Amino acid sequence: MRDGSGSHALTSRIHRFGVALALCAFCIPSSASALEARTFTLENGLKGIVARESKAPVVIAQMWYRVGSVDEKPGKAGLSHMLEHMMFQGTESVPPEAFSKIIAREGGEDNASTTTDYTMYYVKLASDRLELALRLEADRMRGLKLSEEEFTSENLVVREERRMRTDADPNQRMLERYRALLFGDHPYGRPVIGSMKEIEGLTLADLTAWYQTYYAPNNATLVVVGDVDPEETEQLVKKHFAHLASQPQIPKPQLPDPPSRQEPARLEVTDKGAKLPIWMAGYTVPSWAMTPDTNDAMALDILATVLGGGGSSRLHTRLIRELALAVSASASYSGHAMSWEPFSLSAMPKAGADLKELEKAMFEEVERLQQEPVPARELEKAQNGLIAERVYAMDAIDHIAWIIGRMSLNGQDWRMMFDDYPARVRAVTSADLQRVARKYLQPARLTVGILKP
Amino acid sequence: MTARRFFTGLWVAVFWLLWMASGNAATPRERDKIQTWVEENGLQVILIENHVNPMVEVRILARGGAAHDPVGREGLASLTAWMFNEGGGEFDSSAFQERLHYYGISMAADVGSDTIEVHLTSLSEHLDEAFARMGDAMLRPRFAQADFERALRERSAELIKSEEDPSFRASRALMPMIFGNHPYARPTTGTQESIKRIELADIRLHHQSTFRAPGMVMAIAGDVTRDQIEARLKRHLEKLSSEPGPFVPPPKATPAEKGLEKHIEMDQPQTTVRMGVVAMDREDPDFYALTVMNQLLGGGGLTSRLNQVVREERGLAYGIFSGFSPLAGRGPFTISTETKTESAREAVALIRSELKRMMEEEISEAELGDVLRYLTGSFPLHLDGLDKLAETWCRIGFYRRGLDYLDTWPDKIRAVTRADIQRVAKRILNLDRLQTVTVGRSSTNPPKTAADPSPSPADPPR
Repeated sequence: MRDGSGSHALTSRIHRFGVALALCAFCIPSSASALEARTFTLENGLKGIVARESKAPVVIAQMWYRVGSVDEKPGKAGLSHMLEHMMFQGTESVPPEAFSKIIAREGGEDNASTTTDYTMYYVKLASDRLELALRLEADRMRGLKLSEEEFTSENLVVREERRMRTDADPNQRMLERYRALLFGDHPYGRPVIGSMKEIEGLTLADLTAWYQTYYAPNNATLVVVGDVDPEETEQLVKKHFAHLASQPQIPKPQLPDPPSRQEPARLEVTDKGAKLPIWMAGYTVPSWAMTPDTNDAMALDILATVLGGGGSSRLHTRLIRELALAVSASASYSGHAMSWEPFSLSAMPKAGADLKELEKAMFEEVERLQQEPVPARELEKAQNGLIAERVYAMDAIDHIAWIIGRMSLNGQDWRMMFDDYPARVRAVTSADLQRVARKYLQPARLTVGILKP
Repeated sequence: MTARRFFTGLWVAVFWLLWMASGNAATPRERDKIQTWVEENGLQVILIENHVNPMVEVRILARGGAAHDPVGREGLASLTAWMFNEGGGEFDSSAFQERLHYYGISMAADVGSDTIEVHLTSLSEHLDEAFARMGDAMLRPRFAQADFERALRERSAELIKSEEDPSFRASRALMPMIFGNHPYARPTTGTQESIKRIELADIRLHHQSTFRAPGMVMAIAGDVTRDQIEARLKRHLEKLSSEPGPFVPPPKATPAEKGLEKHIEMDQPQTTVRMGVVAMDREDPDFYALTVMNQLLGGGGLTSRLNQVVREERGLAYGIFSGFSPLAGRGPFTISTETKTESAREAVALIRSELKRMMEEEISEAELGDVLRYLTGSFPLHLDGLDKLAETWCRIGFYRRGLDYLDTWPDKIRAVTRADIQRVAKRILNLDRLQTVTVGRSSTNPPKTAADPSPSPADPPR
């Protein structure tokens, strides 16, 4: 993400660690009509999905490239993110830094974000100006001009971004090490932004090669959602993108299994910048994309809600209300990654709390999920909450487009997060919850991290 | 839960302003029918009907924000807001939260400088349940001792954790420098000492003083009709007090005579820079000129002058922003950025030189044209969801901007001239009164004088 004003930068890193579940919630209820959408693939391989949502005269165009830190080699971490920044540095027809100015002049907003799995660019503007966004997006898909001068100063910006996001924050410093331990040799263990040394070592040649390899219509998905006609929009997309050449061989990332251990991995970090401890734990579990024929991912999602979703959840009740050991406690699971992801538990102990006692109570709650079926009312509460959150998320076209893009990139049918979602949530039983708790919340998959002042 | 909440209220207002700043235009669409009325008890209601999605967003603003905290008990309004969803009527805290979650209802309160703001989101099918719980929370709060103690534990931990965050520390230092003895100087979430002085009886009293029908504004956006709302208000909130209550808008703040620079030592690879000065309230005739000037100087996105000079040309920062918050008693205008230790002096100097340029040189016609096109053109982006509609209309109601506020906004923005921008820059961005805080390693400590240390000449106007 190149604009410091937002909070969704490096999205996957943020939300996979369970700080917020905001992006997990999209859908429509069974009562609402299905989203009117059109899906197509151009001859050069560009996938397009256009959905009509005409609540306001606005449209968002998101261009998703299937490239992220997962494709990078050690020593070159941060390449995808650096390239994301450079994508605003001009083409034959658009001078450096003019992209955002052109969009702003038309009353639009634009930004981008890079994660482990993808790099995504968006423009949001009045729906009658969509063609401008498509033209600019097509122009920079194959026509980026990378110059040493622009790169030098943008590289400094990215170093500042790293300082701000990670180096100046004891919690993020810790999370970077925790993630490395949790994922071992899996590329998810490397920071999306790269280490400072890696950022400093990136070259224009690296970026040029990366751009030529991955920025092509057959590695991209364009999602358009808003007050537009899907058929007309498809014609507009053809007009601007059909002439672009595809790229013959796009490498696939290597996605090894995460480490399997005899006993849980542990990381304790003492950081004088920290003023209160943070306790965290993560089980490496599969995502939706990895379990297409089961409801394991849906069950894990519900399990996280039962365990740590909000002020009436089990962790909140036990750790905060009853034992008064912690001032925050939560569980989270996103399910949207291409590969493995953590089922995360986290807590902030109150000052002076016994961390061993806190950890013991945390794992007792996990064991309880394995040993006792979740009562019907509690299961329904979690299901109701998830379904309601998806209705609420439909209020924003940004979220609708995000979920369509995210699912499509993983080769999944995005409609299952819309039309079919309530039925899929309701289909999960207490027995399913107990089954996935036993199957996945195992010590061999577990990493525990503690940040101490 | 960590830090950054010190400023919550102010920043909510700033974001609102940025939305507003982005435009208006077109009359709201036909389907977003706006209706407004006053209930018998004095509650002002604004309804934006929209039946696309089977849900409802409710926002309530009530006078009783942090500016109304008693001296010595700072954090009271914030804790009162924290306690808002901790049980009411026949439900204790746990049962209350369980019930909200069971129906997929989200309900909580947050604190700003002027107001306590209640957010309620519900499926339309559960709206009666949602209003019933809101009635419990407002009229029959439980305020149990155990829950209050939990609130204090959490607040205390949050204050400790906030010390990790340089922007929290910078803001905490900056507000008293900007506002002196004015209530806006006080820390919204209180201090370890001040929260120890707060008792449950204080919370009860603050709650009773805040949630009164007159002066309170409720905006509702979504899948509901006026009849349905009126029936629920009658059933669940009719008994709200019709007496105005003790809180009156805070006095108008005046800028400190002299701008100071303060450095806070913190072992960090970056220096956090925060600058600020008293700006204005919403009634100020210069409100629109300041809106345009702010967008040009350091408004959102990557097109502002500060962004151009500090980020694009020199690579000194990832983000640099200005913003203002037009509170009832005149909110602050602030500038914020983070840069590596060695660049802190240069960044401060560049910011000052950009402010100076804004005061000394008229902006170009082309720049004015671009910024006006952005502000007026981006209008629909900022009202494209029920949450945004409810939030915006609630503020329009609370700050009495009038029902035609959005309709007249673009013309008022378009009427701003280059001379207006220079005049408002001179009025607000007075370098002698500008307060500066830096948080980081001491080698970056900027000069202790208020003189302009600018080593680089201002860029020529483009």
